[in-house]
Amino acid sequence: MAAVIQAQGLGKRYGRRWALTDCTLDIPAGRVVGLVGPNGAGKTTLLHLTVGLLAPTSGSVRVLGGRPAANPAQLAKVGFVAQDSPTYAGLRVADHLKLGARLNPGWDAALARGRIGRLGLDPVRKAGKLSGGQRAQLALTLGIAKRPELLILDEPVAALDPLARREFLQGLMEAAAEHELSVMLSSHLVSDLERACDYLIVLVDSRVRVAGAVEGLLATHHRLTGARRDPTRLPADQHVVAASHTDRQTILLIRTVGPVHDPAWAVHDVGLEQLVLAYMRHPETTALGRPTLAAVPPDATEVSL
Amino acid sequence: MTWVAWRQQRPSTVAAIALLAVAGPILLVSGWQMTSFARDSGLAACVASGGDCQLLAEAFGNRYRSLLEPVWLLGALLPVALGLLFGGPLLAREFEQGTHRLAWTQSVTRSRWLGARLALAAGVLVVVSAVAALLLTWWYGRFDQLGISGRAALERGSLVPVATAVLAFSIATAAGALTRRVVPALAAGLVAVLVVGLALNLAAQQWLPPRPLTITYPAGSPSPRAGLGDQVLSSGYRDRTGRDLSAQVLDRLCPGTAGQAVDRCLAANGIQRVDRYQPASRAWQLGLAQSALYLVVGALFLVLAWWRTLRPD
Repeated sequence: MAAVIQAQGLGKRYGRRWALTDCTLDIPAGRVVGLVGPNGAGKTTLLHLTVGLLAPTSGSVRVLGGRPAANPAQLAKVGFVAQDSPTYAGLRVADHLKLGARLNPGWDAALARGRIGRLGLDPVRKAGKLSGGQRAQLALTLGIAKRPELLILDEPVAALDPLARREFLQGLMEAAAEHELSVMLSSHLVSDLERACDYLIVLVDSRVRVAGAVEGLLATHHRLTGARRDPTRLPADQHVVAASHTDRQTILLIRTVGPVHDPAWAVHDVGLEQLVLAYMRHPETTALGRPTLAAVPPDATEVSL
Repeated sequence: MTWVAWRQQRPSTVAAIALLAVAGPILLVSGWQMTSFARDSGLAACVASGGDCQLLAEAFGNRYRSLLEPVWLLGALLPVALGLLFGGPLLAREFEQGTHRLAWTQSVTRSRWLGARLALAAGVLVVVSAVAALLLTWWYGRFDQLGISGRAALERGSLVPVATAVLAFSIATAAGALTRRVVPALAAGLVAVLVVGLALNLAAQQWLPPRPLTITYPAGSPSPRAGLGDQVLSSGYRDRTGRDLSAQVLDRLCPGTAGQAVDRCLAANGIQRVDRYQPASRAWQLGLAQSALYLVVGALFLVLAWWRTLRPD
C-alpha cells in the first residue's frame, strides 16, 4: 500500500537545539501508528512537521503524497488533534460543529451530531465548561467528522483518567476501523499504545530509535539469558539493544532477523513495553546500525529487561 | 470562513457596542442640554445675529466648559481602546489557548484564515469607531456653532478617530502576533500606540501638507486672526531687521512678565510677533493627511503581523 508518511532526513532545530534529527520514516497506509518516547523527545515536533504547523529545518516530509498544509485539498486529507485538545473556550459545542462544517468541505454532519449525542455532550454548553475528557472527545469529533484519510493525535489521552483513556482509545479504534482511517498518535506511556497500535515508532533524544510494525518488532526482538560473557562477540546479524550483567549471568535484548542458534543462550519472547523501555533506556543503540556498548561496562549493575 | 470569523469577533463587538451604549447617551443628553440652554438663554439667536454675545457665551461656558476636557479625553481614548480591544486578542488569544493549531489544521489555508479574520475585525471596527466619531463630532458641533470653542473645528472631522482606531488595531494585532499572549499584547500595544501616535503627529506637523501659514504682526497687539479658531503651532519674535529673538534677549530688552508695560515696550522697540498656524478652514485637509498617514503606518504593522503569523515556525 502507498505510504501515508514519508520522511527523508527530517530535522527541526529551535535556535541551537535540534528537537528532531535525521528522521527517516516510511509508514504504510491503514495503520494505527503509535509514537512513543519520553517527554521532550521530539514527538510533538514530528507531529507538527507532519501537519504543516512547523516547517522542517532539514530534510523533507510528504504526507499522503503531498507537502503538509500546502493547500486546502492537502489540509482536508489530514485531521489533527493537538496536545491538550485545544477548543474555543467561549464557543458552544454546537458552534464547534458549525465551525468544522464551515471550514471543511468533506464535513460529515451526521457523524459529528451522532458522536456528540452518544457522548452525551450538551450542544449548548460552552467548550470552556467541559471536563478534560469531554474536551478531548469534542476535539476528536472535529478530527473524525472532517473525514480525513489520516488522523494525527498528539498525546490525546494525557489529560484523561485511566477509565476515560480506555474509552477514548476504544472510540478512536472503532472510528479508525469504520472509516478506514490511518491514525498516528503519540504518548509517553507504552501502555496507552500497546492495545491500540499495530505500528510503533520509538523516539528518544530527538532521534528515531526504532520504527516498524508491532508484529515484526516482536518477532525480531529476543531476550537472551546465559552465563556471563562479552556481548560484543555475538554473530554479526544480532544487534544488542540492551545488556545487563550480574556476577554470573548476562541478559541481553537483541534484535535479529534470523533465529538464535547458540545453545548457551536461553531465548525468551519480549513484550512490547519491555522492548520500548529497552530502547528508551539505552538511547545510544539504534536499530539502524551496530550498537555501541561503551556505556554498558561488563560489571554494570543489573538492568531489568 | 466568514461565519467563523464573525463568530469569533462577536464578543469584542458586543463589548464595543456596550462601550458605545454607555458613552452615547451621555454625549447625546449633554449635547441636547447645551443646545436647549443656548436657545433658551438667547445665545443661539445672538450668535446668529452676529452681535456681541460675550456675557451670554460666558454663562454658557461656565455651565458646560467642565465637560470639554472629559469629552476631549474620551474622544482621544475611545478609538485607541476600540482598536486594542479588537486587535490585541485577535491572534494572541489563539496562540495563548493553542487554538491556532485547531484553526490551522482545518481545510482552510492559514492565509485565508488570517485574511478573513483581519478583514472582518477591521470592518466591524471601522463601523463601530465611525459611529463613535460621528457622536463626538456632533457633540463638539454643539459648542462650535456657538463660536465658543475652536477645538471642534480642529477635530478634523470624523475620519481621524476611525484612522486612529485602525492604527491601534494594527499595532495591537502585530503585538499579539509577536508576543503570543493577550495581556502583554495589550500592554505593548497601548505603549506602542501612544509612542507611534505621538511620533506620527510630530512628523505630520513637520512634513505633511498642507504646510502651516505664517503671520507677522506687531508684538503687543492682538493677532489679526484672533477668534478664527486657528491652531497656532509655534510663536516667535523678530526685531526690525527680521532677526529671530531668543527669550533671553527679549527678557533683557523688556524685563518683566506679560502685561501692558511689556506690550508697550515691545511695540516701542518695533518687535514683531510671528505665528505659525493652521487656519481652522483647513481642518478637513489636515484630517485627511493625518488619517492617510495613520492608515499607511497601520498597514505596515498589519504586514508585520501577517508575515509573523504566516511564516511557519
